Amino acid sequence: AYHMGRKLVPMSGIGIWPLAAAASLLCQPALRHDQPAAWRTTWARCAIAATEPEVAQQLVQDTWFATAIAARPAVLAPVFETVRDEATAALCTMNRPQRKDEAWRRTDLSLLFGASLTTPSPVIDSDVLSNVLDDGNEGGNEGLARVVIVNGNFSPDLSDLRGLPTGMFAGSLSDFEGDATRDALLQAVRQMPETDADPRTALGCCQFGALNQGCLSDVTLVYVPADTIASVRLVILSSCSADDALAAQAATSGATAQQRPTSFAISHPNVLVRLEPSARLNLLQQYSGCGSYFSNGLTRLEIGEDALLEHTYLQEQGSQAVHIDALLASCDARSSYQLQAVQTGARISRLNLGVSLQDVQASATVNGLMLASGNQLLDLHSSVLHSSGACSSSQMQRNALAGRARVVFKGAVQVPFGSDNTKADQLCRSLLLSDSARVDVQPTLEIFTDEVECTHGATITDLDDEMVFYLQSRGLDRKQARTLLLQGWVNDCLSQVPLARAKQRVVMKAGALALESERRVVRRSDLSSI
Amino acid sequence: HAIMGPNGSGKSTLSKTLVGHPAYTVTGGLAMFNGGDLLELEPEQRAQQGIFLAFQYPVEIPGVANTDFLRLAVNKRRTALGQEEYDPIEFFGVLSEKMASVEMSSDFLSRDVNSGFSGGEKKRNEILQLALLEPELAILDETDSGLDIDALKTVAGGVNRYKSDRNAIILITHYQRLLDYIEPDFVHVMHKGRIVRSGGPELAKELEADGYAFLEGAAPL
Repeated sequence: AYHMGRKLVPMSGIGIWPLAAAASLLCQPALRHDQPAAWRTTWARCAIAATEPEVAQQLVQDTWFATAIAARPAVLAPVFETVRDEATAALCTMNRPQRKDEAWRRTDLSLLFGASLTTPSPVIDSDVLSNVLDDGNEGGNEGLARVVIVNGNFSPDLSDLRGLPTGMFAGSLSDFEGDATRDALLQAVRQMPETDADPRTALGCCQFGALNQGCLSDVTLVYVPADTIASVRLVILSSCSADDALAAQAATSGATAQQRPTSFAISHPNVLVRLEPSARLNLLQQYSGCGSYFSNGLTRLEIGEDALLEHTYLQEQGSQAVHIDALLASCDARSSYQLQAVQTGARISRLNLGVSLQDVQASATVNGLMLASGNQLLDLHSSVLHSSGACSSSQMQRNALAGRARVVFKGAVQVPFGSDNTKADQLCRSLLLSDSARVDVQPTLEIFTDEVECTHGATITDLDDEMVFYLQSRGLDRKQARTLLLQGWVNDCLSQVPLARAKQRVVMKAGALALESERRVVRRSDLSSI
Repeated sequence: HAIMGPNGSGKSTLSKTLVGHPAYTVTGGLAMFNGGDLLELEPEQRAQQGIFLAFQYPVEIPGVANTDFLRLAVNKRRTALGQEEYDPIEFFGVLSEKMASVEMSSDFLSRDVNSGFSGGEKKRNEILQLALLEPELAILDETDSGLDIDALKTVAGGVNRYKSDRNAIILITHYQRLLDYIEPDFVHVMHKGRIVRSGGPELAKELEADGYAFLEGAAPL
């Protein structure tokens, strides 16, 4: 059930505030007598706010959230309005993540908070589109169903659903037939993430999750009925604003993208994947786009009893983009969730991964890979919660960084009291390929019961100079040797990626990291003299 | 040329220096290879020109497949010799043939470089690379250490097949046993970084009998 954790406080001291931005602030919610008194005050205020912007600006505690709400699109179907209203009401009282919040302590979002937020252009960059189509056109993959989301909205034009088995649905939740199920699914969407979470251990998806739900225009559903086997490719595309796109075209061919973007086109993809009992789904979730945009996503995965979800998450956003996403999975009895999460793109990328093992013999295997170069900041905060005993989980994270990149990894395994016979293991291996790169690794185990087997470990190294020398002694030069080693190291993590072209891009990025770090001098003291 | 000597005499240091291991800096002297200054070259250049070191402790490289690595190395050598590179199919044929000669099992192809190999397999892998790369100078650094009798015979067989008038071998070893299988033309004794004595194959048998006691008063040659 949703509840507001805070009292409404009147705003003061906002400072200079453009009235126009607040003008389209809140839509018209209906007042209902069965809602608690505090809510009714909010609703009343919201109703006034639509006609009195000055009052409205006093409602939204945080100016940045206010601009985000102002930039939101209209909702595509009336059925989503309740979700939006509830989330907006919650958002009014929230502050954006601060560096003093534990969950965001190591992730600097000042680039995002200092910029203005604009509406994305409806036109997707042609290179991005052709890459999407080419990826799917390889041998053996032509029959793979493709669900495309553009700036948060399901796009029937770009999608290709011919390969879907009967009974399966992929598209906007508003188009789903079967009122009872649709209502149940909508209920699931209305739940906002981490409303009650302990701030010391929370993933940090409360605020951006509320922002997503408060600004979404569509919810995309992938529904797999019981005992059905399917493979789906979910492609989430974003574009920058029309002005930025024009400016980029007008720029001279020699100029690179602006160093520090001052505006981001914001979109909120919201995805719900439901597997009924004994269903099996192979899901490839890809993100890409061009220009400077902010993709604020929320994906829920509900895996029914005895179901299996093989999930490959490929974040290949544009180099000027900000990507913040929450991936929340819940696993019923005897179900299995196998995730391969690869992050290579975006200037700032934060993935909040929450896996909840709800009932006995559920299992989760979470493998992650982050490749960071230049001045990227890639962040994975994950939490594997063993709500039930007799479940198992395994997490393996690999990071490689070069240049002045930063990677943050916080992997939590939570075993509450009563979850006996838990088996969990976690390992994080990082390759620091340059002296200016920095990785923050925080493995945590929160265990409140005795009958468990939990391990965690972390290693941080450079490429082994002995291995590099072995390859050199066989004729490969240093650059080739380091590239071969990095690509081999990364290849191990990509076994689940079904598209060869996508795999190749990740391997090429690993090779590029080797080149970026080439200038490092070999440290004599690290070598054995045997 | 076999080089023998007590532990710590500098045999491995010599071999590592010749192939350009970054742990060592040469402060004096010179090494000439085929009329050129060897010490000026990068390790990969020395390898391409035909120097090969069979390591005493070959390092494991998980994630890099044997086939990819070997094909890259062989093609580098062939390019340096002015020969055509092998494509993967041709290379597979060449590799299979050489694998048979060192009795390497067929699952070798699907494994990563030295990854999970036993000591004997690692040494045989070094000799396999020797057979594939066909260097002009092969330095075998204690190739016999850690090998059982049969593995020793296989390794020695591989080396003998490679041995010819067109190449040279520096064989570093402690024991006479290997020299029974690979007959040296010259035997040298190294002590404190210098060659103190040289001779023919019979010198090895003398060392086997009397040990290195004579080195107490020996002066370098």
